[in-house]
Amino acid sequence: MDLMKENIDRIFREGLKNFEVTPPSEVWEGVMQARTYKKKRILPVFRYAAAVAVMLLVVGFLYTIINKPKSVESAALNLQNEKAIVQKNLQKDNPLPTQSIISARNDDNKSEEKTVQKNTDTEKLLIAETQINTIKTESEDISSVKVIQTRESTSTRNKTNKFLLAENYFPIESKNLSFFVDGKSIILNSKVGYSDKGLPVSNDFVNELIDQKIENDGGWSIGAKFSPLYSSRNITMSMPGNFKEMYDNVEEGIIAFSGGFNFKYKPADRISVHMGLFYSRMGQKITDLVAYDVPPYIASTFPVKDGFNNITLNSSFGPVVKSETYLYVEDITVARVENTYSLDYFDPIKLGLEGFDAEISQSFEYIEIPLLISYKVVDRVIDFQLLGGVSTNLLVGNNVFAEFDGQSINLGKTGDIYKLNYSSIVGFGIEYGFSDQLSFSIEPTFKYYLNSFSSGTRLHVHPFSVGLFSGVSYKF
Amino acid sequence: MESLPDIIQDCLEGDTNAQELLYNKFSGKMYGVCLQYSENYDDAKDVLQEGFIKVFLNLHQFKGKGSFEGWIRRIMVNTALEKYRDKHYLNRVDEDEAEKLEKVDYNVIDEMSARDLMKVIQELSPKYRMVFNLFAIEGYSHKEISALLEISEGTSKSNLSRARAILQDKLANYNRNLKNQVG
Repeated sequence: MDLMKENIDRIFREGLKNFEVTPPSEVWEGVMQARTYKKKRILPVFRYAAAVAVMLLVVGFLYTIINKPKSVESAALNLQNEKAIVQKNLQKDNPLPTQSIISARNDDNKSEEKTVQKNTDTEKLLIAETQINTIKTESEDISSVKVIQTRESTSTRNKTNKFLLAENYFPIESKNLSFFVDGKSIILNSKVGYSDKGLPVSNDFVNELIDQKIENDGGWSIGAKFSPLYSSRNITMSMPGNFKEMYDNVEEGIIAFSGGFNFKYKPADRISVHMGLFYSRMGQKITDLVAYDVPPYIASTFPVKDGFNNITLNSSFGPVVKSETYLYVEDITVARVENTYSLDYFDPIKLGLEGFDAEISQSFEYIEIPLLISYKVVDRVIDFQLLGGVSTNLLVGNNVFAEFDGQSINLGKTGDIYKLNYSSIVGFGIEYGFSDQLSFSIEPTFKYYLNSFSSGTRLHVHPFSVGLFSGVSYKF
Repeated sequence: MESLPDIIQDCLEGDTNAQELLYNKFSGKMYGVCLQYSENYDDAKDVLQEGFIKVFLNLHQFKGKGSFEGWIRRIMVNTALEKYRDKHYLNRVDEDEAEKLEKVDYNVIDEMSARDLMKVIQELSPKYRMVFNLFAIEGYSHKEISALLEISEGTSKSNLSRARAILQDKLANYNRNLKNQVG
């Protein structure tokens, strides 16, 4: 019976061995037509996301420039102008020497100023709010001139020259700038604009001034971050067909990680520049393979010479060149594996070797030097910021492992990988300050390699990763 | 006459003439492979076309270290399998195929032309044809066939057994007809 089976198999194997039929010409025409497909311009979602993030950053930056809060210097100048205007008006209608005004200012008995709140907490914040009643002059009927609110943090008072500069314009101990006219007191706040009555109407700016001052504390900070990553790749094809689909079907992303140190500098109110030094691991997994663990006594009979690699596994990242002679890898779905010895020389089935479902993992290690810019969208106790930038990535590790039947065998390296790569990074960050110096942040981040990853394939392969960085930073 | 590595290199550089040369060099034999895995010439033609498109797309991955013909052949076989897997063609069952076994004169059968053998194979239902081709011609194991065709190893073995029985019967018919013609 076995002989009959073998005969049947042999008859067809031998009989069809050299069977050839000339195909109709339309087949070649079809092949040519497929090859002349125009190159599809694939604009992946990732590029849109990166473009949107960059645009947001640019818009945010421009917004900051255009609507930049008045600096303390300009605020001081404005206040000085206010003072001059008011003085001018007052002098015009009620000629009163400036000296008199200033001296009168300190005379509490003549003031109708009413202190609403005075607070001396541990931070020595002193808040005074005053509302004065109507002041009438011959030229203007000023009603409900209100508001003066000044906060002064004595603990930080001398840290900022800008603030001192502002104070220098008011050589007075009081937080208020007061004038007395006809027994009435005018207290100016720092509102830049004027009401139609010619006097300030809001106290927002002073608050902003103080906030700005506190935020400007600590231009530099240092921190450490870590993130688990989902690492994969995107193939942007340069040729038509289902080649991309073929690799997508047999290659999977892996969970990797990244961590390191970063430095942050704040050149402007809501903008920070981030630099860092990170170690990252990324890669992918190749599936749908069968591996045969070949005993040395069999492997030694193969016609393998020194330096003659017996197996090349093609992947979208590049070829995995394997010099290990004791592992035979077969492709079970697509033609990705090239064996030096074909089934004519070595047939694991005929040798009775057991095949195992195998996976091959490609791992790449990088030292990354990112340069990012962040824009703070929400500036509260918990900050929210947009991040974007680029990173220079230096390949420092390249390993390939075959995993089957509970074993993990190092197959060597993925060939033709560029050692220097550049990636774009976008994301957003949530930062919470424990104190003035110490803060904790969480940053969902997306990284996409700008250049193709490998020179060993005509595919355009761009690795990417999605991570959730968390870390702490210290301002100094 | 250009050598095969030179032709491949020219193909990689986009030389259309070299691509046509490569096609002409292997298309006949590969068409035979496609016929072996197909039910008719039209299906084989489609597989051949799709297979050669893949060959040109993947050509950069062939490093010249193995048999180029083996590499192309594998692409053709895989393309044929994909095509039939997509169609769920393999699940189709033909119940009308003979199962009886007759004694076969293998000396006579050895004289069968390749075209006749191909015709016999094509008459098999797809599920039997695929398993027989993969096992007897390509040398795959039942484990691999089960993965390739998404069937169990038991089904693979059973289909192979049925395929052999059917082929044996067809060969016996051929043998009988030949004897009748001679007699």
